[in-house]
Amino acid sequence: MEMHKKIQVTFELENAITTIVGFRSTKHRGIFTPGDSNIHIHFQTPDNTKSGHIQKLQFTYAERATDWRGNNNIAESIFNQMGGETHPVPRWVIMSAGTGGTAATLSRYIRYRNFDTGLCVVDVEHSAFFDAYQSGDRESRCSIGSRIEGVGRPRVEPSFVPEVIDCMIKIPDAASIAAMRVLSDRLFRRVGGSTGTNFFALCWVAANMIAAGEEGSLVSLICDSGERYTATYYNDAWLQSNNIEIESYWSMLRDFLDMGRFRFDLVDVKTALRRTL
Amino acid sequence: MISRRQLLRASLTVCGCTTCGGLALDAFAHSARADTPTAIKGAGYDLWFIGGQRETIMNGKLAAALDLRTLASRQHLYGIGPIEQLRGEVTIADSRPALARVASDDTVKVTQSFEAGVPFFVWAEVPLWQQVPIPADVRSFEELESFVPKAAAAAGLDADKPLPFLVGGTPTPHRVPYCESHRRRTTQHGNA
Repeated sequence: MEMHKKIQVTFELENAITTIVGFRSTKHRGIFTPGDSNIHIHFQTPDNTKSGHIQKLQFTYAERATDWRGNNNIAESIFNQMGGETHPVPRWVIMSAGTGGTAATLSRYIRYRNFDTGLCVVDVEHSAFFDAYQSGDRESRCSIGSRIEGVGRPRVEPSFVPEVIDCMIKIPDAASIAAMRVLSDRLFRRVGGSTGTNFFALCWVAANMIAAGEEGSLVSLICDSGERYTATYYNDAWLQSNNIEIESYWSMLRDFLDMGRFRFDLVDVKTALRRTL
Repeated sequence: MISRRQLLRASLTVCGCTTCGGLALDAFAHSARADTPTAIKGAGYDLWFIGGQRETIMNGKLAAALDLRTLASRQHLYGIGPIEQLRGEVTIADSRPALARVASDDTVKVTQSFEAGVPFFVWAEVPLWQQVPIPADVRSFEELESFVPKAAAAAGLDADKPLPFLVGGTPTPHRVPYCESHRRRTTQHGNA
């Protein structure tokens, strides 16, 4: 297991015309499909310069492909689920940016239904979204790939629509991973790095609301399971080798959840607001 | 082939190893490793598999169970699996092989060759594919996983049988095997 982890290389193909070769079976898990899936898929580019196993797949232009007015999309599902809560209309929806398409769908639905809900999009350390939002320059680039799998992009995706985002924050990877671990401890199940990104941002928004004396509900998503990150985000040696120090964020988040005290002075969060928190 | 309209372009997070994350190793099936190729006859395709992912990962059976050179002359061949000793990945699309190996600088180098062994492998010969559009609400790996059996059933295939499929990015669509019983319907719709 360790050996295969060592040879794993993760990269992304953006806007690629490619062929995906797949096999499906409900009876061959652990044989030719993974133990937790009925499909096993690889890709091959037309020029045959890239190929490999597909671990995650996301079709871009989700915001254009999705009927954001409803039709059981993710936004409608969230607001329906919130119907039974004390504060059924969330004050903020907090969403990390993968392609930005989900965030765009959420925001358009919020506007379409005229909810008094803000959309806070959280970006990660190595990603171009925040700079693009802040500067308005869609050509913003980040030379280093994101270390938080599934979120952050070196350049702005077509699905990213800054005009419908009320607030963006950018957080260190250490904060994402610390939040991932804290949340996993509280839930008794392991969540992934991008869920940690969401959760840290949610705590940050909550702390701002507490500071302002506001009440309300907040919504975010558990994006991924943490089981796949045993050798990385959950491995202290891996963190050390990648110079990721999570201790201060980990302690601060635990204090916040236990006592409601958020040490804004200890966190390196960049903010860009179009709506007051 | 299940296909996505022009709107959807694949943005793939990929890795150079079949056995990477997300496999939930304790959730592996209890099926035994197949030591010789197992053949399955489907409607419009023939499928084989050899070895087993669980045995490779959990029990360290990394040696080749199959020499890919034995497949080199097959027509309309599609196959996937890891290279022996988990040194990379094999992807064969319409008889064109791609051996993806991780180089010392952590980049992936692809060789178009059958010169490799595989500890486990699944492959199929599919002369014709039937095209099925992918709905707009299929956006992720999990949604694709749910959609494939529906597409197979819609195409008249037995979704309970192991099945090969292709997904094309722009503008190639997703396909399931074309079987004789669908010739009339497929021709009528002009999507063969």
